[in-house]
Amino acid sequence: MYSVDTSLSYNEFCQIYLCYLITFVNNDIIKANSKMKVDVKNLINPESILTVGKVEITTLMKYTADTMYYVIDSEDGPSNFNAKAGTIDATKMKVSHDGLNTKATYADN
Amino acid sequence: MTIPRTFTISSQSTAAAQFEVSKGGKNYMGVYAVETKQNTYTGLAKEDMAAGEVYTIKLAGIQNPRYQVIYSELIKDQDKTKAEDQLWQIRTYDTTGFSDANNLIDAGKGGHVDVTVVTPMSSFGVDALNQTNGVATKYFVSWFSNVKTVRTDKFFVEFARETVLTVPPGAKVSNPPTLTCLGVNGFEKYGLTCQME
Repeated sequence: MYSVDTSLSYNEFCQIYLCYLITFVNNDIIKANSKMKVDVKNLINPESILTVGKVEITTLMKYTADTMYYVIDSEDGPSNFNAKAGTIDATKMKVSHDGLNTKATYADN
Repeated sequence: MTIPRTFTISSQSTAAAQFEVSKGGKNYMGVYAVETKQNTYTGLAKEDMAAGEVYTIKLAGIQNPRYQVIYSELIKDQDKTKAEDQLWQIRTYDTTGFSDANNLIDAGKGGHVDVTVVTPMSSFGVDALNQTNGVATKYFVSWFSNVKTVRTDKFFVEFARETVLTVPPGAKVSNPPTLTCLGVNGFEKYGLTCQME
């Protein structure tokens, strides 16, 4: 069992970067060398094709009576997101002289 | 926004003053730059613009091409690049820069505008040096054009069918006879060549 916190308040970097804090809320022990997979849904791709930064994962622990988290281990890797710019539909692009303009050759509009 | 190369930005100040991107009477952009060499207008969004909406871009300070442009005729041509050259281009970038590799959001190439009206010459005249019927003489053709003429442009003159091209005495006869001409005003020496069609 786990809970997810996206309030971004637990780490200063999360004021800039998108962070998910996943907390295991029961007493299950996840053994070392275990593989975990996290599916994050409803993420929107970047607006432009600006190179997407790394994805970083950090495991932390916290004593029940303590408010502070302690880092256990950390790793980062490429996002593998290959951005492609959108295409504006050419058929939706219309160009015209307005009513005051002239369609004459060499006319200054 | 990049306008076709056949059009030119004739007035940077007019272009900047009148640039707007509007919807429903509201202007969403201020002008950021007008580059006459690149034929580009760059706007800066003053507020968020919703996706999936139609916006109107007003561009001014643009001079039409010197010649007619009829897009429907160009696309019939085997050289499709002529039609391609008439398309208008738009690109949007994020706030961090104008790099196609890093900042591009979306791009489109489409839309065209026809230039259908031929600007009339302000004046045109033909005078024969010798007005006597049946004699060989020179003709002076003069015109005043509001459209500039550039190197390799052609000027087509159709003489009255009653006139006949003669061969100067002693000149080698060619078939058809060679037409000679000389630019008088506004031409470099030997800056004009003629041929008979």
